[in-house]
Amino acid sequence: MTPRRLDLIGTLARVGLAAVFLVSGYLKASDLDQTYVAVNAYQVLPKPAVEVVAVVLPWFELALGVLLLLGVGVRIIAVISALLLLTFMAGVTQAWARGLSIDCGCFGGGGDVAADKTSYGTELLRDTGFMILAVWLIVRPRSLVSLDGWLARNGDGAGLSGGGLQT
Amino acid sequence: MTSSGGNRKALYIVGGVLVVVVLAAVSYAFFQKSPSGSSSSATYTTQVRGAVVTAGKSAPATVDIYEDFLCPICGRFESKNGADVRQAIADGKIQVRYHPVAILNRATNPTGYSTRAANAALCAAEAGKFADYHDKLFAEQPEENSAGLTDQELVAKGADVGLSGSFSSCVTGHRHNAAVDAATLAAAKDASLRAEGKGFGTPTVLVNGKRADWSDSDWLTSVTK
Repeated sequence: MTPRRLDLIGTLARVGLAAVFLVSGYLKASDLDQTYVAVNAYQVLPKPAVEVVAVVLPWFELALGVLLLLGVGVRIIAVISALLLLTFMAGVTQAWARGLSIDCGCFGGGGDVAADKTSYGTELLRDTGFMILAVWLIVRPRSLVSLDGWLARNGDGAGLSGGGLQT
Repeated sequence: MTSSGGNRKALYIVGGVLVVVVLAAVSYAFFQKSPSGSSSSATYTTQVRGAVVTAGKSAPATVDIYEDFLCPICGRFESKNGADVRQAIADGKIQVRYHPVAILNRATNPTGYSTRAANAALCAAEAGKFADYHDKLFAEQPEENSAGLTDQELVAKGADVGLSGSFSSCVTGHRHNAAVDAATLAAAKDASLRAEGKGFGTPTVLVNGKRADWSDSDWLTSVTK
């Protein structure tokens, strides 16, 4: 595949992951009390920690989304995204394993649901899809129209910018 | 691999933005009124009419609170506002009409915890212990899709706040169940309780008859100031 085409895939991965975080962050931020209930339903953290996570997570996701959209520090953002997704998947998996019946609250909503209304498999599959986007960007963060590219061209150093494996 | 200027700049930008966002969110949470819990022990008188508990004396502002004892967001509402509401009633700044409704009866197994809890709260109000009992039910709220609490457990929680005798028979006799269910149906049909385009949900808070946005942490202070 030509570098140009790989760049294009990288761009799609970057913008796609940005869209995921912007939407999920926005939906969480627009109902912080619901987000609290969603985080609490995982029954992992003590209440004060739930309080902190519920208020930080929405804005953290929005920040990741904006930074990805700008294309700045794509590799490090992708690493952070992958770690965040791993945390989400661990949360869903433990809920599944413990027999809790909750909605992941991944895109707003969340909390306890009826036992026949859980969809852990789908939620994990969806997170796996997002994980693939993140892994692509870790391996090959180069993409079109990114601030990383601009910084590389205007930075005081030459060569490997944006953490990119330039080809 | 050598780190370039561009690379380092990107790292600074990313680190800076994320640190600022996290700090901003944490400080926002900190400056928001911290959850007051059920720490208030202020007292007020109550009157029961139908399935409505009127708390406190006639006051400059009237607040209507529609709650389901199983609803997690109602638990959230109470942990954030419960103590302040209780204090404001005791101080005579507001009169609150509590409407314990039951919209989540399906969400326990066996079904019907919401109605039985609302009934028990009305029983507690008749026995003069509404505030303590109401706060206790929310502080020790069962989860949705759990078994809820049995009548015996509802009686036991009453005993913890000093309720006994006729309270117990009121709870186990389901004295107010019919009134609660009727009030729930009436609330569900009342368009003034709904947000535009949405169904009736809990908690619904009205201030002087108008829906209030309680997710705005100033909703109560703007009433009591």
